[in-house]
Amino acid sequence: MLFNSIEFLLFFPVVFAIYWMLRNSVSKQNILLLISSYIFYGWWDWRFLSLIVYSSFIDYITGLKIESSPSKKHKKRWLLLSLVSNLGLLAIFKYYNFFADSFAQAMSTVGWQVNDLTLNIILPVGISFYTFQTLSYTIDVYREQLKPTKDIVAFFTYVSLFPQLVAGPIERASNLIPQIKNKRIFKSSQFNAGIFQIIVGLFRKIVIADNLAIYVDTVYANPELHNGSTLLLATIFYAFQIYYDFSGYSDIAIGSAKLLGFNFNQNFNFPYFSKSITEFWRRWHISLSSWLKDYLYISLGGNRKGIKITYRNLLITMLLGGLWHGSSWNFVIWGAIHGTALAIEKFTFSKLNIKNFNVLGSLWTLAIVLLSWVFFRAQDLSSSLLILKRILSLDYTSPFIGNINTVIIALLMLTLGLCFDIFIFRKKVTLENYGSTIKPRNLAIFTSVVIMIIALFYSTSNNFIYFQF
Amino acid sequence: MKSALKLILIILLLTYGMDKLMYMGLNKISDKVMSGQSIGKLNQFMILKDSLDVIAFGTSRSNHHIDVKKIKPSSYNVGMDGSAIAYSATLIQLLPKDKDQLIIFNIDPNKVFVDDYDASDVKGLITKYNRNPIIKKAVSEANQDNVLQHFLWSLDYNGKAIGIVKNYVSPKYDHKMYYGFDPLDITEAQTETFKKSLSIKSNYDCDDTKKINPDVWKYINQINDFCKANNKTLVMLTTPTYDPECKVQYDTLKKALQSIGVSYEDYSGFFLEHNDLSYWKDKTHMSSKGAEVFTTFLKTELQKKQIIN
Repeated sequence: MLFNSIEFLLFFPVVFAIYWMLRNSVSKQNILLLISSYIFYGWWDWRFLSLIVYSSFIDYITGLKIESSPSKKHKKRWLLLSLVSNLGLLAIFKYYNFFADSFAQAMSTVGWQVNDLTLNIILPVGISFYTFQTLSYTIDVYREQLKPTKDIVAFFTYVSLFPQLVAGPIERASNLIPQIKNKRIFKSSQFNAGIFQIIVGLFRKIVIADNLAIYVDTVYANPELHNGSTLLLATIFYAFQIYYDFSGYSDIAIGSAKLLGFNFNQNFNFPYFSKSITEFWRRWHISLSSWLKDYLYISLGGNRKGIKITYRNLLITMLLGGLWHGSSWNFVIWGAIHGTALAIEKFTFSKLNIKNFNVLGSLWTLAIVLLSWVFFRAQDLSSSLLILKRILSLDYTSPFIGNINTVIIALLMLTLGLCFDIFIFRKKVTLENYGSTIKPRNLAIFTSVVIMIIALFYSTSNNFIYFQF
Repeated sequence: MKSALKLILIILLLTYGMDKLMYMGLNKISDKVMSGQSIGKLNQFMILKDSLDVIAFGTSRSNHHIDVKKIKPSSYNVGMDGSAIAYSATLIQLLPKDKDQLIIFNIDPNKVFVDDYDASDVKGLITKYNRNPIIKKAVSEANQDNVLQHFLWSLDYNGKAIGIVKNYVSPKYDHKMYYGFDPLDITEAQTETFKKSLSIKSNYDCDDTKKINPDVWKYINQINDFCKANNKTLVMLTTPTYDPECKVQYDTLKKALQSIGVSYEDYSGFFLEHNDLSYWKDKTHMSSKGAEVFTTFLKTELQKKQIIN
């Protein structure tokens, strides 16, 4: 079920109403959340619910077993079981074809012809998100940073809670499980903040991102037909498309959770206002970057084992971060660009004893991010290289415009979105908190005006980009 | 909880009020727009439709190929780029019941023998959804409406508002001189590009076992039934293409149309024997010169068949 669908518009109010009717019984509320989360997911394909149940069951058991194990060795065995089960699923459903294809290609370069090993596998929606979420639970239990829960409904609800099930934010058990187990109290301020964030998220996704997508999709579908200026414009549009698409999704997720009395962590914090790539990763997809830092970078040794190992760790973390997004070399290159930029910054900042490059830092960040988005968006490696070659040739003749009205709408809405971002950014508050500070009367006017803008300018619903990961 | 319900209620009421104001405002502006393909042409057709003698329907190939004024003075070409049969079939339903009118309908096999046709072209009429019951019914039957449109009328103008305001402030052409036909005047550079493109082989899938799409067939029957019942003469035809492909599909189409009593003429190969690059913009669109030659011929043919005087 998509957030921007009629189904969700009917589904959510029903769940909301029953949920608060059951406010005197946390266990009944949790059962409702679990059932509705499975309906939400099963709406896409009920067969893949079995994977979520399997993943939840394995981690529920391993969590308890890790805690009750008498020795570190035993604990490690249970952790390994969790890692192999979860990453095994990911490997089969997400990476099997990629590795089989890469293997066949590598063999053919040395003269061995290998039969086609790829399989017709459907990628289950959200598998990367809920796998990382459950993994964080068992790792935290193993590290003794978290007590495992015995409440099976609470745990299963934690893994599948519908606002964040298919595209995050990747919530930590330490934040979410206590909220699931404790009584939720309805607060007007939280409700208002939720409404505000949902409406902002919808505007970002179906008005800004989906209108930009029309131009981006046209150009990136046939990059060979377009000149450097067109490809540069499409890449800039894509940078905003993916930001407003994913941050819009996160806003709807966080806002919906607020209406149910939950507080999720912030997932985006105006990343394009960053003055370094390091800062960018503190602001972009925060739940993933912090996951990678806590469970991969630090596990590899972080910056505790000397400067060379630190650079290696940065690169490995970002390469795997890239691969997390999708099974293609383009995502690996995307990760490599970010990893290299982070390593360069670490080296330069420590040598010059600075925190960023100030104004130049914004340009540097923008350039690296744009460069990497080319690999993220292009269909394959050869298209990416062609696009970059044309952009860097600086042969900027007049760009392809296509449908002028579509481009005007996209630019107008982008300007509106950017002005809003600048307004909130300058207020030095987070979007998550801003909604609760608005008077109900003003919130009602704001919401109605945005609904009008959505009605007049929304673009037909594309899937959220991050659903494919 | 009470405050939350109050907030929701206020939002709903405010949105309802704003929506109706916005809708009425856009209706007022939109009704005055007479230029532009999407709104202006439709508005002009709605005003003129009851008095016209000849009306051409179809895609851009109808729009650029049939100079209806050459056929009869009181005429209009509603052919439009991106429109297909559902759009035209709906407009035909709007014609007056008892006036004798000639309907020239350009139909192309590559739009008929298709596996997937979702009638989404009918969305081109969405601005009239809440104001015209025939359009509303057609859009709903094609499953191209949004359930929220029943409450949020401004959705009728989704994606159109900028174009409407643009054409309202600065009309593209003088609509009093316009009758829907858009001839393509070709530059030398375009002819050169066309010449180069001739070496590119078409990848059209000519599968002689393909059947007429059932939805397309449903609309053909709807048009035919309406014309028979309402004093309209329907002429379906395929206007010329540079290099007609898959002739077998033209024959199948002809037989199918004849079986329901529709007159169909295949003019796709009209220029084959005396082909000249100056007649073309590209392989499917004739230049103004080509359109003029073809329309003159078409008029003669219609006279021969005593469809017009």
